[in-house]
Amino acid sequence: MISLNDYSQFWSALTCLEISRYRFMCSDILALVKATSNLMSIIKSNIDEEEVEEIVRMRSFLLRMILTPVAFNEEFFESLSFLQNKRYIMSVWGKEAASIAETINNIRHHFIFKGNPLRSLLAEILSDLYEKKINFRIFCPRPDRVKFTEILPLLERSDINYFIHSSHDFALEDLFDVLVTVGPFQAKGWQRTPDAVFTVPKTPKILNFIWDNVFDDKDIGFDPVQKISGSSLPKIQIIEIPIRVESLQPTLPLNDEQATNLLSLIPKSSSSLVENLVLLQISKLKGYLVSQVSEVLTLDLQDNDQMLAKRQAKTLVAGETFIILPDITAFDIGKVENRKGKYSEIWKAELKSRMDRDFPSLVGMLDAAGLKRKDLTGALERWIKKASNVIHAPKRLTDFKRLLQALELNNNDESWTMEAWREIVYSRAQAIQDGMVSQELIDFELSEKLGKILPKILSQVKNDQFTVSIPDESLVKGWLNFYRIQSIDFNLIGPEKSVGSFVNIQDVVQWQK
Amino acid sequence: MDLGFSHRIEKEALELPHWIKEFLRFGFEFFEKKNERRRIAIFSVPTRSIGPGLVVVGALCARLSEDAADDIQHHFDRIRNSVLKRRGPQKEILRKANQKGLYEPIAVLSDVNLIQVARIDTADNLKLTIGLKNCTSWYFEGEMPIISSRYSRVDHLDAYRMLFKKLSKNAAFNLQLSDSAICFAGLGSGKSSTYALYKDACFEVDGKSFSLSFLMSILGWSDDAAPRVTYYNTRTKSLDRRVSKPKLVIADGLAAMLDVLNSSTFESSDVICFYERALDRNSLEDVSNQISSSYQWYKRSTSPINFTIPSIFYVELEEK
Repeated sequence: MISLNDYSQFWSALTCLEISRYRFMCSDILALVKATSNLMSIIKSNIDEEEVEEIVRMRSFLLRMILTPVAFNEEFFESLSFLQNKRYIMSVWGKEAASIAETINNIRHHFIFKGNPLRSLLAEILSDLYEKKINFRIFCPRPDRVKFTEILPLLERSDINYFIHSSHDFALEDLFDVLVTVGPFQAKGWQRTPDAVFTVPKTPKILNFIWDNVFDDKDIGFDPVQKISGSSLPKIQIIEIPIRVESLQPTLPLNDEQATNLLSLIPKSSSSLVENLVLLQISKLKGYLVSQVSEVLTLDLQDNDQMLAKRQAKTLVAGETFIILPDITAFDIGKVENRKGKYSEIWKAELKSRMDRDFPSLVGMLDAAGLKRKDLTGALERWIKKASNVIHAPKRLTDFKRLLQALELNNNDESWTMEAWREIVYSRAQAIQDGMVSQELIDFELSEKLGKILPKILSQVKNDQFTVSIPDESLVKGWLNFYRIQSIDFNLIGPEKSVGSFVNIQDVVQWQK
Repeated sequence: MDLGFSHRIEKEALELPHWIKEFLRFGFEFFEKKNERRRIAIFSVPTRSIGPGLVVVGALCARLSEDAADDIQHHFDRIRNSVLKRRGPQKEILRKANQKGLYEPIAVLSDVNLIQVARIDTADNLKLTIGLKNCTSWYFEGEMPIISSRYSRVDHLDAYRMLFKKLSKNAAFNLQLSDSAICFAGLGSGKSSTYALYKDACFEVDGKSFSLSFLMSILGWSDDAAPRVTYYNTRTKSLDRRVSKPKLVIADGLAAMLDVLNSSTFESSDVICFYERALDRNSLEDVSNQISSSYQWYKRSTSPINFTIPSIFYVELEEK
């Protein structure tokens, strides 16, 4: 990290931040985006379902084409291969769709033949920077890194970390000579550029590769105190370098941002999107999407005090942490003869009678038995409720035992206590099936038992993924899947239905506002 | 982390780098400036630095010049209040410095403003009185004394004097006593890792080396010197000493800043906060929302303390 003294000197000497912008003028790109977007609209209007697979694939395809230096090859255009079946398109979506599909196919063939001009120039310039030993960095979302290392594999083999993937990475960087970026400068979404690129510039020069008809966010380079205080940011000088690309479609004079903004032409996802998500990447292609504030069962090898614990997603650190995803096959409810609340009737009646008779002395007894809670009165009120679908009772067996001890009901009869407990657990298991109680009970049951099999777990941590069976004595039956967290991306947007599940890394690009 | 600072102060020529002097001067002037309205100063900084620690030292030096700049009155008030608690579950026990025995506060002698205590660990039921003058010889069981021979070390006064030539005569006396008018809210990583940031930044005065952590005078950072600054742990949301509410809090980092500005503990304290602005947009919006919500009650200060370090943005707000 650079010292304040050195940075202030750099800032004082920085007359302007120069952005050399290689703008690729290609009417085929605009035509392809318009045609594909039209086709998406036709498909949408024909189908009632929220998001069909074809639409998701087309949106993801367009965004990757516009925002990343992807290779224009058969593999990339694979997601549009279904358009080659003219009869199918005609019969399912009609004549207009078939005509659009033909336009798309023509451009597709042309692109595969000619390659991606943006990627070609980027490759040339990156090689040049590398050979001349210029101290440069590349900013891109982490999953797009591979698109740069495919161009110049030496980037991955070097001792220097050429990549910046987040504001956090940017903060840790020292000064360097050149920053390379692809696509527009956006404040939010997957492709967002750190505001610090403009508010804490670490370089006097940016090389930006961008398709025409793609526009920067106007409020990029935000800092609240700078805004209020009216302090000056370094002046930005954009040097436009237009690159005309040979196209099949005629070049049109395009001045209307509303009509030509490639990103706004693409129909937005109709899935309901949620913010503040974290993507835990567990392999090159897969990630697990969770809410930043959700608690995730994890194994943290660097936490010597508590390796196994539930941790908030936003506090996780990649590398030595595994997420643990249980694969539950059964929930053992044991033998319960009368599942409607035979035992609960007895202890609840006794509890109610004690509460009515002498509440302070009951509290004293509970305290002496070790059952201490801040909201004890509220909890007692809940526990005396009659058993319905759920038997309201202490969450933990130890607390339940303490309650029975205070009520003088266990009388050295462990089996009575355990039968009463099983009755409670059964009611909860039933409620889980009914969707009334959350995953919490299962998580609790697992975290209680996991410590016992820690040595078994630790013997496997050299692997990035492994499975361990749940200890026999647990009420929960099944396996635990461990996945090493390779990298983490914060503050993402994603579809509500994908939260708490695995997603394809390539799809993440389409979830933007 | 190397924050890149080690400076020798020659006896005659005190010439510190501009940025060091700016932070020290700012801390001093901000504390010294008397203002009836609560003030909040916010710094947007490009990178982590020892700036917040220097501001602490600047403010501490301003405080050293004041009369009765110590915890004595608060300590006496606390002993007085403990009489009321003696029958409750949170009753407090007192000890006399360098003597055996446990004492219970039993009565307030209002006419002479003294507190009567009785020995409880022996049968003799010895009764003594505590007044404002001798209360520093008494301390609460399980806590540190607020003054003792342990705090006789004042050689760092020379270092403070080299930084601020106009320190008053009070400084030498004040340095022997603990004080809690200034609070430092450290990074979320905890007190020891915050300490590590400041221990390597050193001033050398007449052949003696004083680390910035020492001069910040936080309990446990300054060996045998009296603690003059309290430490607020952002993670545990607790102060390192039981003290009166601070007059000024210096918050280092986004988490500390948001925590301090929303905490009832500091609702009447002036606040100086620092955040590194290389943050994700969501966090920058948190800062923006915090400032916007403050605008109901605060306005831009009409006479802010002057501060100029290139690349640092600064705004000062004061209560309407």
